[in-house]
Amino acid sequence: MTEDETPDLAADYVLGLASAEERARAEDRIARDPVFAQEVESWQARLSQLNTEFDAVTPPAAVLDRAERSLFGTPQRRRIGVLGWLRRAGAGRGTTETTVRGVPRPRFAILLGLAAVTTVALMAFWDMPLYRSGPPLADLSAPDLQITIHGDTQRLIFRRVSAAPDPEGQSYELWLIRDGQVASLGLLAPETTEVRAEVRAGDVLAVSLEPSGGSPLAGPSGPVLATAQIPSL
Amino acid sequence: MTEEPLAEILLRMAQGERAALRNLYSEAGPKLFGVCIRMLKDRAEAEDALQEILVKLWSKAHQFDPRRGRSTAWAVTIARNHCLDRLRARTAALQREATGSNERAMLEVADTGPGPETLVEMKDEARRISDCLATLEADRATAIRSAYLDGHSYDAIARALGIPVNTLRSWLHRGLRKLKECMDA
Repeated sequence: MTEDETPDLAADYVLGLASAEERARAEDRIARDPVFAQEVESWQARLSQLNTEFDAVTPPAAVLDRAERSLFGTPQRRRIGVLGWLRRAGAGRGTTETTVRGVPRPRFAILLGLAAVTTVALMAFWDMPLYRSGPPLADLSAPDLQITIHGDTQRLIFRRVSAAPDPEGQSYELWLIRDGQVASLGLLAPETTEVRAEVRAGDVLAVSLEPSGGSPLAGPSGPVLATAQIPSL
Repeated sequence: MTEEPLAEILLRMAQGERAALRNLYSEAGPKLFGVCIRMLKDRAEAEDALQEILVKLWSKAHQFDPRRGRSTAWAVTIARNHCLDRLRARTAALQREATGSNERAMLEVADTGPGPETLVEMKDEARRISDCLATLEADRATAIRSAYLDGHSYDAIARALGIPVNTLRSWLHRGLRKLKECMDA
């Protein structure tokens, strides 16, 4: 690849001309190559002037309710006063603060109160009756990564369907989002990852691309590639 | 950046303040929904996409850095990328089914430019890119606009214009380099 192509590839990515595979490659490169990331940012700044041509359309309130339900468990406007205050106060207690770009952030992983979260990488040939017991609960689907999720209220089994290996020097990390708190479920193993965690309907699972070994932050530090909500269990 | 209420809202979201999501919805929801509708061209899908975008914005809010750009542009980038991922996934599914049905839709490419009245009404901020796009050959400017605003891919635009993808690629790259020179001048 010649040096000259970098701005073209960055422009292609920002314009969205690229195919799913090319987009995934560009996203990997943004995480690894600061020169490329800078080109992408410059094109974003230039082309964002076209944003005025997107007409504003008022969205239905139900969309916000659904998003709140998936993030926080319940739409916010139905929970008023004391309960909301208590939850916030509870969330503030016993947290340590880390500073990310000058913004104080609570350590979400401590808050979530998942009793021991343990991640066990299993061999591919391990007999897993759960896969066979029915369709997956959900799946996480990104251009270069397909994961199906099976499980029950006590555990989740993430099965990597796509054969592509982890991008060099990077890891995929799994996250559980509940009531607006984000907790790491550990790194995604090459084939099957079993996580023991209490889960319930409405929890949101996410996968992000991180530096090798996982996010240095309490939440994702790299791109969130896909999210999925757990339906009734 | 007091003139940017959304920046303030994103910082509150990054700190886990749930009420801020509601503020984001009234402040930026209509713009983000407009992006989804224009790109996905399907109201029900746009609603699903917007819900997913809200979840993404919540989990990525801590990555927003007010020193590195405007908050609206940041949120629109996340929304566009989400819609593009959906569109490309859809294209892959269509290719698997070997249908050519999206060719017809892509022929609308030719009239996606703004009409004269829209150009006059357009905010100052957009004038610079409009001026620069106006210095390009018309079909290049149209292709750039339709890629950014409607999420059309190389394949789709090439099919609509009846030219090979590689030709389109080099012709668009020349146009983009010219656009960059003009805008950075």
